[in-house]
Amino acid sequence: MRCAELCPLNDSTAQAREHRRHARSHMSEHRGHGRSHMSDTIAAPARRAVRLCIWLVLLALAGGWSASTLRVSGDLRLFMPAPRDADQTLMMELLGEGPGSRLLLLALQGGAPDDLAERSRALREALLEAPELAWTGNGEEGLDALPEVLQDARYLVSAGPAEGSLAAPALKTALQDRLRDLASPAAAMVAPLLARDPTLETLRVLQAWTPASEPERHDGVWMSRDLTQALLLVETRAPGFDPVGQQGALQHIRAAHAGLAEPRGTLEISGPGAFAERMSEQTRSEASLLGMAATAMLLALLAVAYRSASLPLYGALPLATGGIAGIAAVAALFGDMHGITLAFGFTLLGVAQDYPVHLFSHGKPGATPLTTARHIWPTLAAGTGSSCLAYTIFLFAGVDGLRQLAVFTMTGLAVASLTTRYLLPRVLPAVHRDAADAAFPRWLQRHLLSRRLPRWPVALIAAASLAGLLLPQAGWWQDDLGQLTPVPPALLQRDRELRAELGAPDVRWLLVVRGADAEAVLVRSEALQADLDELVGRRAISGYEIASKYLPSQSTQRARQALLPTPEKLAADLAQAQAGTEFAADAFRPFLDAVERARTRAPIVPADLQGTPLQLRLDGLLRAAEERPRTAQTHQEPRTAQSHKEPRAAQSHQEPRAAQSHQEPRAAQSHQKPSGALGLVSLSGLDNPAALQAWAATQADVHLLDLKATAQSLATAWRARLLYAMAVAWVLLCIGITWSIGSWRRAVRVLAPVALGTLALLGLFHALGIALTLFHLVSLVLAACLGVDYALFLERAGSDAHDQRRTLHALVVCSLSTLFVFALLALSQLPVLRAIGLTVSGGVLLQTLLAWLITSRPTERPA
Amino acid sequence: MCSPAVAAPPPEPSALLAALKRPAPTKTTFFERRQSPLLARPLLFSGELERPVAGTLVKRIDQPYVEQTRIAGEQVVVERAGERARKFSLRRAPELRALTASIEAVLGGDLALLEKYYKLRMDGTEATWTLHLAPLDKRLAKRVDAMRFLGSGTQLHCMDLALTGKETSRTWLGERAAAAAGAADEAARDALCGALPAQ
Repeated sequence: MRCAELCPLNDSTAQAREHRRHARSHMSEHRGHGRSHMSDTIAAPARRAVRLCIWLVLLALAGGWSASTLRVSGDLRLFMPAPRDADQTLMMELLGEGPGSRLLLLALQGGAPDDLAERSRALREALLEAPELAWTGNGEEGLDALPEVLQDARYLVSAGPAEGSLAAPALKTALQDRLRDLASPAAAMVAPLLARDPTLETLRVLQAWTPASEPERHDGVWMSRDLTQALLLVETRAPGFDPVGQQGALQHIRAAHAGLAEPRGTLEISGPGAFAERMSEQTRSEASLLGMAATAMLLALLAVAYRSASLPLYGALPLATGGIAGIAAVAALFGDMHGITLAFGFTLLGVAQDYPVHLFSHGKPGATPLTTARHIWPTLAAGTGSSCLAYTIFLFAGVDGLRQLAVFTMTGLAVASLTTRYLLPRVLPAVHRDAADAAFPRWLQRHLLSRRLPRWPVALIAAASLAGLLLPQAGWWQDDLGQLTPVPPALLQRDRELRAELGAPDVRWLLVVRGADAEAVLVRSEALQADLDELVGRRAISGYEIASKYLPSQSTQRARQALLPTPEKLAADLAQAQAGTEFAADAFRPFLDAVERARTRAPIVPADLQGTPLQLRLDGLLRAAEERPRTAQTHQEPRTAQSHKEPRAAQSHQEPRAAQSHQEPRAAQSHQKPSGALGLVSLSGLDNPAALQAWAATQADVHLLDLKATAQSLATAWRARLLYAMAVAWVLLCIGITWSIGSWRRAVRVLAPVALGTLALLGLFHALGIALTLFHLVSLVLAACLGVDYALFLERAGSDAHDQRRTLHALVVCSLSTLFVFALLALSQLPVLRAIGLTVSGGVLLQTLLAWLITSRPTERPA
Repeated sequence: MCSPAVAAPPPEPSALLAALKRPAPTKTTFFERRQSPLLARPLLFSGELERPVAGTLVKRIDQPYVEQTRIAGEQVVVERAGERARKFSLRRAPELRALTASIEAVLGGDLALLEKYYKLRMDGTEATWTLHLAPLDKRLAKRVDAMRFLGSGTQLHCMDLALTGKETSRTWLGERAAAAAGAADEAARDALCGALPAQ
């Protein structure tokens, strides 16, 4: 920290003179120090500088500590309410983690089909070892795709032996073929496998895994039907909602593509992760651009209003201190903080920018900043208190993200307010200009407050709001969560095309199979496969992914075990097949051992696949109760409705997602669901959900889950809760204001403009057909808090001419600065930013206007 | 002849490659012996190796069965009598790519290509030399232990391929191929890779 640059050591001697001139008032401030006031005043500039330095250093330290402690999480579930039913619970788990949402669709373009196929292979090769990716597929599954444990148990996973692949005739043909393989240039490919698996059962397993509806192929590689693009599927390790993880994966893919030999054509990436990256980039760049513009405007406005370049910078101190205190509080209480909380939090904390404005505007020569602070403190405290009261609603919205928001804003506001009262005045230079003497408050006072304002505009606004509210408009609410950060339609269309070409799973519909445990689900899934194949045949769907395809049930495995030949029988058959060939007598010892191992081993269960590439794929399809971790920690956790906090807590660790660490969130997550297991069947090419729904209705333990509808039902439930909390907060606010003012008549003068302003804004939105979202609601609360502040100060100013002008000065500066900042946001292309900007700027306009009309009193002694 | 007591050193790889260069199209007979821990006795084949144009290699087995493997660009096509042609990419068989590249480099006189895949070492004498190739790429090294070209003077006689897991293959080329096919035993066969004793 370079103190010299930050400290106002350039205090003018003029200001020092000011100090001496107002030594009398200083005396009262320093009474307790037992020193002469003269030495105090002379030393003041240096002392202020030292205080400011200490403040800045502490601020920097606290900021550094918070930044290093706080993990910014991207888990959207922080902003989701606690699930109420099984579907919602499942949806919460699947959000960003379902089989579809971790998939990225890659398209390579530019070149002849042969070149594209080659490029596709090169890209897949480059991505095979990528730590961010669980799986990369381009149609060519290598043998290495099969985990060791399944290779070893291949005779249980494959239906081959039951179809006679280990009988003597089949063995003889197999050995002849293997001899030729051994002689071919491809020998090295099969040789390692040959001794263990001469019948190539491993290949049979892999072939069974290839989807029923295969994409078009050229040269063994997935292509679009017109052969103009090679297609690949990539499964990321990071969940779809984890922007950091997704971005890491995307960057790796792009780097791998950039590393290909020329000509490499173009690479297109689609899918939830790619969209999320794009949208968050756009939001961030737009928000930071608008934010910078807004800050510049704010500083300029303050500089003009106070004719000082340094005062606006002092004015930033309470907000900065409050913000850092808020972050520290969230870091201490929650450990991590959602990116949205942070962005929202600083928006809501914007109220605190008004606090120093009140201090500056109410300052007058002859009163030290500390006196002014003491003077405005009751009003300031009432304003802060009511804002904090309003923000308590977020504590009860039942959403973790909003709970964090409440902690952040309440801490931030309280600290900013206390800072304005106790710290800022001690570093401020003395006031030498009275805001009451400025021209524009005088003008306002003369024109607007010289007489009692008419009541009819208020009545008009009230009537118009009611009319607006009662207009028959389409809908009040925007239920489609996707509309908040909409992906451009062209991209969505492109995603649909690629998805159809690749037969990639639908992200909206899922079949859910319920069972007592994983085994029951697998047995049920095996039985369903025939029906699903028939549905594929009837073109109701083009394909499906089901857990039993990768892992047969234990009962099926046992049945296959029973059919495996005894060691004696197999040895005899093998010897017969081997007779006359060049193979060494004991060449196939590993094969005999492998069959015997498979015959006698315990059937494979999901736990056996832990840590393999298949685990991730299977986890997406099978959520088994028995995967529940048996650690002490998880058992201590009560299973409450809020237990959805858990996966977030585990998942938001921004650690490298190695195969091992990935199990941790997964394991923690499985703990929250009701006992029993779930099988998820992802569907592709779903053209007729109704037909599928009808089929599912006839099946026991099976139902079709509509993730979109479930997400909307969650949003609705949550909104109701937030509205309820807002109503409670309003009541609390009314009580709090009345108590702090001590007169219900005066309280009404403060609260009426706020209530009417909020109603008017809602009526305006409704009349304009703007469907409300969470962001509108949060912004409404902010606007209401600003309105309460304005009304409180206007009310306090009463009818004294000087006080009134200072308050007018403060209010004009406050509302103009807020209006500038949020009107800028309202210009944004992004619905989220636009919603916030429109609501707050519209709200501030209405609140200011109404506070003027309702709260202000005509001046008694015009100056 | 009175040969000097100290044999002449083997040629430098660059000089050797220049001498071995055979512009396409070229064609030569071969005899291959394949050994594996899985085999009680080695597999023996004979046939023809062809390089019709630079970048394309065709290996035709005539005995004991007929099979043709054609490697062009990144594509490998294996055809057997009475069977559908099998295609796969060189990417799936890195050892095959390295092998192909080494033959391509030797016949094309392309030292740079050879050094892209292998670390080179010469050994022996001018009369009987061995060019040792050690794979540079880690993935390749997982499958290929070493390659060797053996010959005398400006003649290439044999190619050795040692895969991991003791899978080995030795291929005799040109007139040495016919001699190897008729050799009495493996020791006599192996002697055909070096300089033959003066008649």
